[in-house]
Amino acid sequence: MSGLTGREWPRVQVSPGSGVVDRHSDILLVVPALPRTGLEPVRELLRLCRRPDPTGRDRAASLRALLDRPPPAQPPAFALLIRGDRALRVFAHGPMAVRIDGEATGTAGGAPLDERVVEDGWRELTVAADGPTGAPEAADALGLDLEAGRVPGSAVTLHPAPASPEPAAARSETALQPVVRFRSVLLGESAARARGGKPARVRRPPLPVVGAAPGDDAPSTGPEVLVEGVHCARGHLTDPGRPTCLTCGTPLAPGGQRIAGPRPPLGVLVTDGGTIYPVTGDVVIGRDPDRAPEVLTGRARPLRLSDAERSTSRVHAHLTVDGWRVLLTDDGSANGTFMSGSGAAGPWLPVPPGAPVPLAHGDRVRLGRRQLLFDTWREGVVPSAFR
Amino acid sequence: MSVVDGIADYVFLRELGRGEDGRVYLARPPHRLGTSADAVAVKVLTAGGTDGFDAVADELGIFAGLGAPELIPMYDLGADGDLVFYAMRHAAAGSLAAPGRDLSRREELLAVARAARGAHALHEAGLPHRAVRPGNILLDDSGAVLAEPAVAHLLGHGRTHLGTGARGGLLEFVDPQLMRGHPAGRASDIWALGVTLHLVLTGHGLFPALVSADPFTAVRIYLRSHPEPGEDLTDGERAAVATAVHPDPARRYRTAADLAAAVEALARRPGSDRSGGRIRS
Repeated sequence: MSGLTGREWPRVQVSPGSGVVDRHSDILLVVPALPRTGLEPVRELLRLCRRPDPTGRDRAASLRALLDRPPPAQPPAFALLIRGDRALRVFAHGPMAVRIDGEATGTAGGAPLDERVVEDGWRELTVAADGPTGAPEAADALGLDLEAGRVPGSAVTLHPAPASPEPAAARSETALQPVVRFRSVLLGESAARARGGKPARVRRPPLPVVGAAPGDDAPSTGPEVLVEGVHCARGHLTDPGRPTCLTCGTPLAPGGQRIAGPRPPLGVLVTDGGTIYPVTGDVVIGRDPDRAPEVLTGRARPLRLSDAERSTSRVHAHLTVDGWRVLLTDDGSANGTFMSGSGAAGPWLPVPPGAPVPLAHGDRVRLGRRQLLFDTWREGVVPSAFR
Repeated sequence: MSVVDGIADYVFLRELGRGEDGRVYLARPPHRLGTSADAVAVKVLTAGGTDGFDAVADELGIFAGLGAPELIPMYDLGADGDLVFYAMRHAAAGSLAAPGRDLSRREELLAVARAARGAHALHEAGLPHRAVRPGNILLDDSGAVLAEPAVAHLLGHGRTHLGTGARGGLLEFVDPQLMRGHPAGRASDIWALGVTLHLVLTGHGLFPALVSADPFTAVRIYLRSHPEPGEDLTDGERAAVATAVHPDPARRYRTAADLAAAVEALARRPGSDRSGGRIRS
C-alpha cells in the first residue's frame, strides 16, 4: 500500500524466547515471558491490540483499565509500541527495558503504565525484559523480520525502514500482506490468476453415501462420552431410568442388560431467537461465554445470548451433563436464573447460585430477559407417503 | 456492527441483504482480485473473532477451487481486525427466494436441479453445504448457482448451533437427523434440497403447522412431526419430494446428483413451463 509511505514500520527482529510478540497494523506488542497460569490477561491484551483504534485514545484507556484490575487479572510485564507519524509511542508495564542506539533509557518499574514518545532518528531500538538479555545476533545473522503476525519471542530489535522501500515481491496467496491492516487469501479464479496457472485442486475424500458403509452416519456431534445404559428394542442406547427410549420413544422392557456405549445427544436447547444447539456436553450460557475458562480449555461449548440491555450476565449459567442427567447451575448472575416446567406462564422457580438443578425436557429457562427451551424429539406417526 | 462503508480494500456501494450469520454488500473490488467485474458481493460474518480463519480458508478454498459451473465463483477471503469477510460474484438476478423477474415453473425446477448438481460436486470433494435453501440458490444470466457453504460455525470456540432457523422460517431446512446428533452430510443437504423442491412445486412449506409460530412453539412442533407433502402434487412430484425428505436417511436419494436427475425429469414434463409457485425463505 503505497499510501502509507512515510508511516512504514521499521524492520522488526524477534529474539527467540518463550514470550509472545505480536505485530499488527500500527502496533507491536512484546510480552517477554508468559505466566505459567492465567493466560487470559495476555489474551485480553492481544485482543485489545488487535481492535481498530483510529484515534489512538481507546487503546490507551482500555490498557489502563486492564491494569487497574486486582493482581490475578493483571497482565505480566509487556511493552506496546504504537507507530505515529514521526514517532513511536511506547507503553511499558512492569520491568521492561527500552534501549535506543545501545543506550538504556530507564525502566518502567514505578508507575503501572510508563508512557513515552520516541521520535524518529534512531538507528536501533531494542525492547526486552529488564535485566541481562542476550544480544539478538542470531536474529540479525538470519535476517529475521516480522512483517505481521503473532510469534513466540522474548524481545525485539527495530531498524528504521529504508527510505524507499522496495515494492513487495509477488507472494503466495496465503502470505500475510505487509503494512496492510487486513489479511486475505485469494480464492478460485483470483487465486489461479495470481499463480498464473490452473486453480489448485484441493479436495477431501468424498462424503460417505448413507447406508453404503455401516457406522458412517452414527451420531457424532461433540466428544464421545461413554455412559452405561440399556438398548431399546430398536437398538438405541438409552437412559435405563426412563420409561421410553430417548432416541425413538419405544417403551423399554424392565430389567434390560446394562451396557456401556457412546452417549447420544440428550436433547436440544433453543434460544428465544430461534438458534438450536444439540446438547452433547457441557455448555456455558451468557452474554459473553467465550471467555469462560471451561470454554477456553475446550471442556464446554459457548451458548451466546446477545442482550443489548445487559440483563444477562457475561457468564450467566452453565449446563453440565452427568451421565444421562442435564443439570443447570446459576453462576451468581446479577439478575438470577429461573426455570419453568409449565410453559411461559410459569410458575418460574429461582435456580439457586452454585447449586445444580436437573432439567427435564420441555423446561424453559429465563436468564435476564432472554429465554431458553430444553426439549427433545418425539417419534410421531410416520405419514403414509413414507411407508 | 455499525454503519460501514467498506472492509479491507473493498469499498461498499450498498447493502444487499442480511442473513442469519452475516451481512452482504455490493462492493467495488480491489485490483488485486484481477477480476473484470465492476462490482462483487462481499459477505461480512457477524460472528466476531478469527480463531477459525484457517478452517474457513480450507473449506472455501475447496469450494472455490472446484470451479463447478453450478457453484458461485468466489474471489477472496480475508480478516480485517476481528471481522471475517469473503468476496464472490454478484448474482444480479436475485435468488430463488426473491427472483429479479418472474420465473416459470420449469426455470424454478431447473434452478433446484442446478443447485443439486452443485451440492453433489461439493459432496464429492468432501464437504457438506449446510445452507441449501431458496435464498441461497442465486440467479445469474448464465443460470442458477448454489451460494457458498455455511462457514460461520467454524469461527470461535466450538460454536455448534444448527442455525437460527426457528425464527426466519428456515427451521424446516434443518434435517431432523442433525438435531439427533448426526453429522451434516449428503443426506442432510438432500433433505434441504427436497424442502426447497417442495416449496417450488407448491408455494408452501412441508410442515404447515410451523407457519407464524414463535421459535419455541415451532421447535416443539417440529420435533414432534413429520413432513406432509402438499395435496396438489402429481404422483411423480410427490415421489421426488418424499424420496428427498424421507425420515430414514438411508431411503433418501443416495446422492444429490440422483435428486438432480429426478428434478430434471420433472422439468421436462409438459406443463412445467407455466408460471411458478410463490417461494419464500
